[in-house]
Amino acid sequence: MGTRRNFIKTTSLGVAGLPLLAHGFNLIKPSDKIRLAIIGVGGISGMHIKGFVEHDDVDIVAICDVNQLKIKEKLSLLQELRPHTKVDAYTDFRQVLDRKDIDAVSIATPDHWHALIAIMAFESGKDVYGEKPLSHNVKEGQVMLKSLQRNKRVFQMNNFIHSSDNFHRVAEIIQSGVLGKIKTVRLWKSEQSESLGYPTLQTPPETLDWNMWLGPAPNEPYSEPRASWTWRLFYDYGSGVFGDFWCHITDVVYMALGPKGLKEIETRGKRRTNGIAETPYWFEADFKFDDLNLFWTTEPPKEISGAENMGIGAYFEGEQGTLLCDYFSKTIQIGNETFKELPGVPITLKRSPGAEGHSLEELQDWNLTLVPHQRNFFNCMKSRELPKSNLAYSRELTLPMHLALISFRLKRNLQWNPETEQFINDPAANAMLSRTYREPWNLSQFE
Amino acid sequence: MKPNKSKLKNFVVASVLIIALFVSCKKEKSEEVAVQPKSDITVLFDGTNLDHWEVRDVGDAKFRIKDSTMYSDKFEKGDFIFTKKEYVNFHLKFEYQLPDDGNSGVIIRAGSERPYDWETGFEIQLVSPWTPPLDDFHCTGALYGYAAVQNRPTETPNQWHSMEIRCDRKVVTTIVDGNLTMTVDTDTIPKMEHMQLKGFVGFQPNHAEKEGKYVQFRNVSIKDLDLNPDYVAKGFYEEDERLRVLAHERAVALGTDVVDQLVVLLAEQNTMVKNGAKQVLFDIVVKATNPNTSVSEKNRVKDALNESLNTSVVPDYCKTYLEELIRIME
Repeated sequence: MGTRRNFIKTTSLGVAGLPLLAHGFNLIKPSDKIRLAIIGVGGISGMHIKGFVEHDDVDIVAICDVNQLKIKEKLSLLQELRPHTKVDAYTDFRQVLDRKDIDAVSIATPDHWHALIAIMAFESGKDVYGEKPLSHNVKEGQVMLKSLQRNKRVFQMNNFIHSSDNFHRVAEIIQSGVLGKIKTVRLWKSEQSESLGYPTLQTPPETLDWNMWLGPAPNEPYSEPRASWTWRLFYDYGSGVFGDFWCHITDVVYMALGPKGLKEIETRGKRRTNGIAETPYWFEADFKFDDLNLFWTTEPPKEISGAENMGIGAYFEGEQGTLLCDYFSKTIQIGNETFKELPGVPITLKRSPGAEGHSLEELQDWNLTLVPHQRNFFNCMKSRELPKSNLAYSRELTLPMHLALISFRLKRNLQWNPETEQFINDPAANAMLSRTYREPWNLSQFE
Repeated sequence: MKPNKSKLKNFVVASVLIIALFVSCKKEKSEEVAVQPKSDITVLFDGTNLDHWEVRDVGDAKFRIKDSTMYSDKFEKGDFIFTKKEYVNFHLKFEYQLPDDGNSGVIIRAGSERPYDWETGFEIQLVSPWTPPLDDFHCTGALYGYAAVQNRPTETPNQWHSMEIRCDRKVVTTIVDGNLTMTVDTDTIPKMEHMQLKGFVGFQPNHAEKEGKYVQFRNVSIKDLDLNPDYVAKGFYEEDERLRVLAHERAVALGTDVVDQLVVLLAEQNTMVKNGAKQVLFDIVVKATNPNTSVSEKNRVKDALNESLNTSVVPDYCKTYLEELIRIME
């Protein structure tokens, strides 16, 4: 009960507009240990944890999940990796946020919980390392940014390939102008999601708090595919394969070019008609920015030689040449010549710390790839600087993904006003930028 | 070999089936009166014009009107005549007359490319008696080559006969001169698997090569079963994915009229039905909120959703979904 009261007190203070914690209230000295809690310890959190334990100045002091089996699993993983650390387990994240001794939370829940937990963490004076995509919808991203700024918090989104040397190098090459002006970028992820069939409705297992799993999402009878990793294929919780990978590969475009002035979104797609999965299994989206055309496809574009076997990729088309890349490789084509590297292009972008001491091959191990990105976050917690994939950046990166799915669901092309962040002449599309939260959860109180 | 006994057997079978069909038709009719103010019957040919039709593969001969009948006197390149509209589920009625060596047919659920009857749709046979006689798979009223008649009809040439063809999803029924002739579930015919479930309805010209011998049709009308919201709603229970996709398409076309039925399906325990209803309600909203849709049409859909929200006895989570749809429409 005490916990619950604290929660209400905290949020009502937020409503009154009083800054909860002035900047520097819980300033961490470079020599201090960071006390971290992980909220949402399903599949992906194993990878996070294996990365987090690489940081000697970070103690994982709490984990939280609505699924007791996941808690058990991750407690034993932590026991194995850090036998001497005491970790508390929670099923209600509000109890984690109530703890004054916790400096930061890492959020690895399904998408529909990302924003609210992050905002409530900001309001409780905690910094946040959050899974991608940033939020479930556009409105949530807007409120997250306001809350972050009001509370002077540090946020890093876990699009961790951002901190790779490869993406930095691609950005340097593009920005050097050696390929000329980039007019078009083609992106793809070749994965077609399943239909999930037609499962029977069930009573949720005893070990799962289904009501809390749903949180702000609409109430819905439990069936196994909704609560397992396939939650992503339901619009109430996720954004399909497209939304899953968008933030990873589009990141390199935002790093290199920072496209502005999104004007038009055109989409085509197909969804399964033999199962409950809702998001498209095949999808194409065309985005028109001020100075750039961005195309997303479910297969590598046929005209790009060398892309046939790339599961995910980005292809920059410049006036003088092209660059084809994925997370760990790049191929540059200028005239008839092909290059793996252009030594003449100077190193201009600061890399994330933490990759030192690991070879490029080692860093291709997923668990270690996260380390530099996490390190950047922890360093920024101490310095109060903006992390590389900070909230303003990751919000801009995530936003076109939401717009494309709205266009697909409404079966029409949409015009966008990037200044007002509203669609032009389409009230229904604008309504889909947000959704109604299920009580008692409420987003608007944090605006 | 035992014509009398066999005839009697056929008569008994046919009588039972006719009664069953009559009862089911009657029941359906009363439901339609209650929920379906619009007419679901279209007169495709009343003797004056071919406005509902399109002649394909026009050769020297083609379907035309003579003495208030539509007829074609040559086979040539084909000269099929097809409805301009595609149908999925329907009840077609017409009268026909064949010459001595007549051989024609009705093409069902045909595509828009040749060969219409063998690659996409199928044919209900219309034929005059041949020597030697055609078997039960190829006589009048048979699903040509695939399903035999259960009750062989009279094939007397040079006189008017009536025929009804009912396509109720996978069940095809023919009635000649008021007698049940054939009823078959096409799922029991593996070779029919590839055939489409939606297409044009067409008439074949007479195959006979002699000049002046032709097939005639008159009083052609069709009842589109997919204009009945109750009928369409049942399509969401179909195991065949293609039928559910078609039910979805037809429900979006019905829009406002089928909202009540779909809201009931939202509360189904069967996730196939529930999910189908959820998706189609969303797509009805998509259509209604399209900038090209009139404001009055949009308001009609919104009102229907609001009314259903206030009157349907469904669990709260179904109402939440309706509220979200209404919110998108504000």
